[in-house]
Amino acid sequence: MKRGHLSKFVNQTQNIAFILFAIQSLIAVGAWIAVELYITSDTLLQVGITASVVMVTSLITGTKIISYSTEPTRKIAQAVYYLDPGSKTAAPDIEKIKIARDFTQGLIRQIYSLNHQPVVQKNLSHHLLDSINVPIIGLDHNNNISYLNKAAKRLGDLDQNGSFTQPFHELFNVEHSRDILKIAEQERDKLVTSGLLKKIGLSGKNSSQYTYYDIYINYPLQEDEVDKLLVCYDQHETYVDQEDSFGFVSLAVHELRTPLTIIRGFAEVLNEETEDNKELHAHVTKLRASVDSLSFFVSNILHVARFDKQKVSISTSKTNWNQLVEEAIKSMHARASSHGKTINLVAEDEFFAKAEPTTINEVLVNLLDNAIKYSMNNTEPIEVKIATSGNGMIETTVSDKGEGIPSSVMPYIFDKFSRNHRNKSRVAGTGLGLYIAKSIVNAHGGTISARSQEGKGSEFMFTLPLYDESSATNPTEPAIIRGSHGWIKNHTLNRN
Amino acid sequence: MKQILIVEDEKFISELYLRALSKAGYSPTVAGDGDKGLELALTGKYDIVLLDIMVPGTLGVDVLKIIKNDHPEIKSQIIITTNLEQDEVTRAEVERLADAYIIKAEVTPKELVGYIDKIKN
Repeated sequence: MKRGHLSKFVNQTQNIAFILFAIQSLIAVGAWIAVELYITSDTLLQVGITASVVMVTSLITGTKIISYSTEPTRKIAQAVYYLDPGSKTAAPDIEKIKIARDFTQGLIRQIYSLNHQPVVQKNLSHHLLDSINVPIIGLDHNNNISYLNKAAKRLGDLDQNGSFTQPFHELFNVEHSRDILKIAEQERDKLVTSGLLKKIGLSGKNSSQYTYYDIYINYPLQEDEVDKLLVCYDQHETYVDQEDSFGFVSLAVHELRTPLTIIRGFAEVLNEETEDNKELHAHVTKLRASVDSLSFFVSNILHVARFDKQKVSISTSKTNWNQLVEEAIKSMHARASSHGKTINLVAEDEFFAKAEPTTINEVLVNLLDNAIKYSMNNTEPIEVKIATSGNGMIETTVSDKGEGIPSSVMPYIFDKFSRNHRNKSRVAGTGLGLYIAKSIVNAHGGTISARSQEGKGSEFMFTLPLYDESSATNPTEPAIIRGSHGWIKNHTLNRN
Repeated sequence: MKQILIVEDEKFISELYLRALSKAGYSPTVAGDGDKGLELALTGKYDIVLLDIMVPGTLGVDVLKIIKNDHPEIKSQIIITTNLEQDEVTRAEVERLADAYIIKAEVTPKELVGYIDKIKN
């Protein structure tokens, strides 16, 4: 709106007031003359009649002045009322404004443009979001739908022209009934600006055919209608391929495990039968150690396939950590002694960890196996130490006095298939053990690290949470006692 | 003497288990397929059933379900043995119905006897 319009409006108002005053003055003079000439010569009566005429004309002209000068203000007010969605006020007819039309028109246009701007932007945003072939779902504070783009409506098999405000779970199914909205709230409580949920199967309410997505959850800060924005990236092909490859690995592992079971079993028989023959017994010990290695490798293949498929779901319970470590050391005894090594355990105290015994045992076995493999150049014992790290965690350290790890390799030792190229031909291994160990420790909420000096040895440390009796939901003994070989039901719970 | 039924189709494995269990003082019997295994299990004379999941005929999981769901009068304790990864549904079903679960490749026959002793006691 041009600034000159305001001064023009003021001038026009003043001009109208001047003109009307001039007219009124003429009327007053004319009235006096007419009264004197044609009505009466009585001065008092002349004054009275003239004053009455002046008052009436003043009233008329004053009303006109007020009407003209306030018309722009009234039109502007009408324009503002018109923009109120709940009002029934008609739009102002600017053509009927007699003065300051430009001024009024400019002001009203300004008001309209200020109001329309968010609507134009909203419409533009929605148009853009509809053109993206990624389901986008907006939820309000009560987890009811506040926005669905076209791709989201297709996902839910919903009417493209429909408007939806139902709870999320009334329109969409989540595979395994995962409570992704609860997870979304938990992520927000961590004060993160966005969260990521991987491999979420979603379908419309009337469909059982899930499509797999990675869902990014965003928390818009300045948007009242949308409390959470779910952006769903289609990863169906990737995850289905992973399922297929995992199925192949499972089958391969099963086929390998059957002959392994037989070899292991008869190696044990031979071990018993050759107790009286030292030489034969020594051969059998080596055979058993090799079978243990092979069994270990086959298990690792399965673990890696699980981790790659993100199938690491652990079920923790109160675990006697010292006892578990002792059992792991015992299971590696044959392998260690076949290389002339011993494994010593030093524990600061007796600890109970919050752990899943089956999987955490894999970490211990992997670290011990590495310690044996990379310290075959001496007979120094392998040391295992258990201590508290002081922040509610147990720290377990496996150290050896072996060949150590070159500093150039250190940054990559927890990567899959990471091997030191210098000893690849000499030391058997797949490069999977530390990758598996890290995945398991992380799944338990712990951390794993390593220190090493080439030629002097290595130290691997990992932490696990201490078992907290006060936060246990079921502090009584577990119904199922899990181990690396399987599980047994705790039948003490079933006794009458 | 505790009676043990071994439902296992792999001859070498059943031979290993027979040997180890006999030495440990148990009285083992072998059934080479699920149908025979189910028939023998339903006689009710076995204290423990070692049940392989992948056997010919009626699968081990189905044998487990029939015994536990349809024959509450059979008091045998059932140990599932397998080398196969379970899907979630089967795993949940086995955890609900079986008394123990052993990965065959992870235990020697002697260790298996140790587990059976634990369950028996």
